[in-house]
Amino acid sequence: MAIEYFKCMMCGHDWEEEVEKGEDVERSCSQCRSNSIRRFKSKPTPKE
Amino acid sequence: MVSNVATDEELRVGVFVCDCGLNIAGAVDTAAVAEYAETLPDVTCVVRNKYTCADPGQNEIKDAVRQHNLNRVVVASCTPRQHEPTFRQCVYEAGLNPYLMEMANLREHCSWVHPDDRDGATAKAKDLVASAVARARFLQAQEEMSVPVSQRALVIGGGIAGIEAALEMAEAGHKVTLVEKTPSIGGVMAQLDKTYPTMDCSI
Amino acid sequence: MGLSSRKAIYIPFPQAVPCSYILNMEDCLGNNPIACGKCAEVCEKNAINYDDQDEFVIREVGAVIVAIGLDVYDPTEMDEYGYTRFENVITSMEFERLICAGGPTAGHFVRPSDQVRPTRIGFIQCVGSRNPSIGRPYCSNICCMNTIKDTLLLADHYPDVKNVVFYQDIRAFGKSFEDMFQRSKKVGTRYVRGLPGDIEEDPETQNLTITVENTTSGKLEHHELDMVVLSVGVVPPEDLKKISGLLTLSKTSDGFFMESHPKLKPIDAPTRGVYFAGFCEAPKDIKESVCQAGAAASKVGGLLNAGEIHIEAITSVIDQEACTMCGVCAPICPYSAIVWEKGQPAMVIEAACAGCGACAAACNFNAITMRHFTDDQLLAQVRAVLAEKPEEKVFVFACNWCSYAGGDMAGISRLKYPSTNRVIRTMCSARVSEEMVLEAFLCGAPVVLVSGCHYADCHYINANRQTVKHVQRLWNKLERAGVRPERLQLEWISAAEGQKFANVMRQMEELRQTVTAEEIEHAREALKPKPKKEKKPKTEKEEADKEETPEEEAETVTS
Repeated sequence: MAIEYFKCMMCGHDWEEEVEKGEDVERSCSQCRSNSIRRFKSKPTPKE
Repeated sequence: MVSNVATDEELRVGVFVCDCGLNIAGAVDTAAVAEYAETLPDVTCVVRNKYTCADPGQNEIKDAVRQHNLNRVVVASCTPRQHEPTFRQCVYEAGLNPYLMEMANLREHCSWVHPDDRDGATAKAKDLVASAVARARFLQAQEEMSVPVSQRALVIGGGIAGIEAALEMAEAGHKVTLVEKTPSIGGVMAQLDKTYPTMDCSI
Repeated sequence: MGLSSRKAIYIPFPQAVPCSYILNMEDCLGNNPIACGKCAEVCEKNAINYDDQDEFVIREVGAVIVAIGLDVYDPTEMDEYGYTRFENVITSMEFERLICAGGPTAGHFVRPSDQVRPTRIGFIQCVGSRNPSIGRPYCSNICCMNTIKDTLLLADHYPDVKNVVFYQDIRAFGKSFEDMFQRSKKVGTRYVRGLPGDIEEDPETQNLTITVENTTSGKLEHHELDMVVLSVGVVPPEDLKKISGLLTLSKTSDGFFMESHPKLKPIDAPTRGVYFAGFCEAPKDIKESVCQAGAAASKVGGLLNAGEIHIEAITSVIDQEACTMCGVCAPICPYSAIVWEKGQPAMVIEAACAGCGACAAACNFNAITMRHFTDDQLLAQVRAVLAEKPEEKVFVFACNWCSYAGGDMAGISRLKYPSTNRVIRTMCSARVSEEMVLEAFLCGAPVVLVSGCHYADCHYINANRQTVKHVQRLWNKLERAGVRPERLQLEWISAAEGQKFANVMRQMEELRQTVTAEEIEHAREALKPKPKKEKKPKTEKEEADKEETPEEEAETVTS
C-alpha cells in the first residue's frame, strides 16, 4: 500500500489515494467521469 | 521495418462512394466527396453508387476493378464492422486479395450524427475518404491462415440450456462434453416444482 | 436451503442425473472404522471410495457453449422485508421446495414458524429487480409469471387460500401468459399495485403485517398475512467472472454476458467459437433458454461441419534482423504469443497471436510489424486527415471492438455531436504507439483522444493496460516539452455507450476551442524528434526510469 496522486486531465480535479501494489483498476474522475487520469508517485508541484 | 509500399506495381485505387439511399446522401454532399476523391493520389477511378452493398453496387465494383485494372479498393459507405466481410468477398470475387479493400465510415460516424451540418459532414467525409485512400496505398495482400476445427464441443453448465444444447449437438452427430460443477445436472430448473406456462413438473 | 436436514451421503434429489449417492466430505467422518465407515460396509457393490480425488480431464474442443445459468438474489440486504429476521418470510425458491411433493414437507404447504398451513399469503414482486438503489436496475423477466403460477398452484391445492400480490407492473407478455394472469385473478388472487415499505411481525402469532401504499387508489393499506413470499430476482452467476476471464468475454452493464450484437447476433460471443445459451446472457425463461440452446447448438454444428476456420491475417511479425533481442515485447503480449530468450530475437507464434498490436507499439526499434495495421498505414492516415486545416479537427484513435463500435452506436441511435472529429480505427487501443500520437501533434492536431474498451471489456484480455502506459508516458513527454498535457485525452467507451461517445466528442470539441494557434505551432516545434542516437537495447524498467523527472518527482507509474 502506498499513497499515490491523481489528476484528471479533463477537469483538473486532483486527489490522493491508497494504491495496492499490482492493482488493476479502471479509474475515472469523481467530478467529471473522465478516464483521463494522470497518475503520480509523489505529489506534483503546481506549475506556472 | 519492412516497408509496405508496393513498389513493384503501379498503384491504382478505385473509390466507391455510397449514397445509401438518403442515409448518407441526405446529410453529405456525396457528389462533392466523389469529386474530391478524384484529386487524391493514385486514385484512378471514382464511382458513386445508390447502394454499394446491393448486387448492382457490388457489380459496379467488380466491373471497375476489371475495367480499370484496380489493385486497391476504397468503399466509402458504412461502418466496416457491418460490411467489411461483404466488400472483402466482393473484391475477392473480382480477383483481388480481400485485404486490399478499405472502408470509410460515412454513415454511422458521419451522416447519421451530423444531419444538420451538411458542410461540416461533407468536409469530414472528404477527410475520411482521404484517410482511407492513404491507408489503402499501403495495404498489402495477406494470406489467411486456416486452422482445423477440433471435432468436439464443450458445454459449460448443465442446466436446461446446457442440457438442451448438448443433446441437440449430440443428436446431430457431434461429440460433446458437458461440464457441471454440482453433483447432478438440472440446474436451477430442477429446483422448481411446477413451471409456467404449462404448470407441469420441472423434471 | 436449510429447510430440512441431509445426511453426509445422499442423492441430490430423487430425479438427479447421475442418480447415485455422493459423499459430502465436509460432513463425512471417513473410513476410519472407529469413526464410521458404515456405508462402505453395507454397499454390496463396493462403490464407495473415500479417497476419490478431483482430476483434470483434458479435451480439445472446437466450440464452446457457455450455459452457466444464474444465481438467485439473496434478499437479506433488503432489511425492510425482514428475510432471515422473520421465519415466515421466505423466498420464491424456498416456496418451490415447500410446495414440492418431493420437498422437505412432502408437498404439505406449511409455514416455517409453526408448521401450520397458512391461508393468507402475500407475494412481493421485484425483490432484487428494477431497483437501481441496490444496483439491480434490470427486470429479471421470470418473477411475475412465477408468482402467477404460484398463486394458481395454491388456489388449486387449497381453495380457501387468500393470495395478495404486491407489484409495480405485471409483465405477462409471453404466449398464453396473459391468460394465466387473468385466471389467477379469477381464482381470487388480489393484485395490489405498490411495493411495501416494510413488514412487521407480531411476536406472539408470528403473523406478518405489510404496510403498502396502493398506488392505484393512493391509499395506505395494512395487510395481515400468515406468510410472505419474496419474489426474488436473478443475478449473474458467481462463476461469470471466472469464465469470462478464461474465454475473454465481456459483460453488459447489468452484469450478464455481452453478445456480439443485441439484435443480429444474440447467440454469438465476441470471441469466435463461443456461444451463449440460457440465462447467463440475459434473464429469460425456460422456453427462451431452450430456444437459445437450440440456436447455439446449430451454430456449433455449422462451425464443426465446416471443418476449418480462417483466421484474419491480422497478426504481428517480428523482423528477425531488426530485433535487438531486448525482450520488451514478450511480457507485454496478453496471449504469451511471443517467444523470447536472452540473446535470441523474439518470435511470434502466429496461431496464438490475436492481433492487438500492443507489441508493435511497444517495440522501440520498429522491428515488429502488425499486419494490416502497420505503422506506415496508420501514420499515412494521420497525415492524410491532418493535411488541411488541422487546427479545426479533433483527432481520435478508437479501438475496433468498443470505442469505434461506440461511435457506431451513436450513429445508429442518431445522436448528434460536432462534426469536427476524425476517427482512425485500430484493433486495440494498445496498438496506438507514442509515435502515432506525437505525429498527430506534429501535423498540427490541437487535441488528440486515445479511446479503448473499459478494463473489463478489453478484447485482448488486458492489452489496454498498455494503452494507459503509453498515454502516461506521453503526458510526461508533452509536459517536458512545454505542451499542455491536457491536449491528449484518454477515454474508455464501450460498444454500448453511444451516448458517452457523443458526450466525449462534445467535450473534445470544447477542449479544441481552448487551444490557440501559438500552442499548436509551439507543439509542432517542441515535439520534433531529436536526431537519432544509437540506442542500446534496454528493458522496460530502464525505459520507465528514464522517464523520471527528478526535480518534480512527477514520475508516471508504469509498473
